[in-house]
Amino acid sequence: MKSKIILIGIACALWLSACATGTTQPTGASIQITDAWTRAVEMNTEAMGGMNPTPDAMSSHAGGMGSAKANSASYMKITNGGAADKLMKAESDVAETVELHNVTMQDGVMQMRPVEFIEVPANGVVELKPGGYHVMLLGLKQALKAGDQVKIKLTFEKAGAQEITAPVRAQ
Amino acid sequence: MLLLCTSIATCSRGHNSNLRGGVIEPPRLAADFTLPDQDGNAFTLSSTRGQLTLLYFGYTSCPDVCPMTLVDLAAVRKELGAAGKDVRVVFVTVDPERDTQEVLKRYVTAFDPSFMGLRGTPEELNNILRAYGAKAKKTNLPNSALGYAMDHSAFIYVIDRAGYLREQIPFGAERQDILSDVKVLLIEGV
Repeated sequence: MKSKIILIGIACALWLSACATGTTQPTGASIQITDAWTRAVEMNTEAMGGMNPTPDAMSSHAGGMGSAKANSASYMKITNGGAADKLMKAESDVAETVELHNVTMQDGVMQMRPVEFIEVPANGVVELKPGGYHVMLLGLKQALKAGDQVKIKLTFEKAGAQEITAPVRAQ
Repeated sequence: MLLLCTSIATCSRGHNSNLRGGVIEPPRLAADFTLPDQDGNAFTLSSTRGQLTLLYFGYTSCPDVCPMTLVDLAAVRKELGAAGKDVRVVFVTVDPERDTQEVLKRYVTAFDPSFMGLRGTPEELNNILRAYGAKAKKTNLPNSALGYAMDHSAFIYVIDRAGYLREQIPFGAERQDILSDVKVLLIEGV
């Protein structure tokens, strides 16, 4: 009986010290992703004439002519329990290209710009949400239907890589 | 005579305090235009008289501001039930270079099969934008696979059933507020 109590005591002590370590020495686990979701994009196959990745459409990626492709965006809440970090990169198989973007509004005019990284403040939260920061999915390879699971690999400057799932929502 | 009629109509439609969006006072006749729609047919804005028209300028490569607005407008039409057929949503692309007729068709009809997707020449587009006080500007993005973005005004222009421009609803308006305004203007009638 006595030894049991001692064991529990040791376990508690270990658990506490693990916690303390976690808060003072941030590791990859200090970044938490919650509320991730992806905007649904239907692909009306009947009207998909311009959708197929033809060489002409591909050239739009070089900034030239070509018809627009279907795009979407993923959003999430990034909570950082450690030192300041940066989201440097996002990757996903559902799109040809994945970029980090920001949207700003100036006098009612919407501007979308790619960003090199998204800052995640120390012991803070950054929210990727419509009309602001987002993971831009360019050139979707498939329709994104409500309930689909989109896997995204996020790479942080300090915390390293992390795989998340951003389920598709129709909004 | 025409002037008198216009001013009477303006007076009777002026100042509806039940509206929540960016109200235009006094209301003025919405600038008319004709552009090819997603099926290649000529669409004239004034042909929608009798219906409430929600006009939006955007582009299909838009990340979320355009699709969110269109999702809201589709939901508004749905929530109106049978009255939804009196609400016409018109999307004019500010990116005619990439938004071909096929792309527009695929894009707008995915939100709601009744949505119109219009595309004009850059000159036609500029004239229409100017008439509505809207802006669109191409910005090259050398560091993006997108190639370029279109910076554009993100308002919903609300044209009542008599053809008067009544509101300019900014991005971020609550869906319930848009629905409420649409209901108010539908009741006003023609």
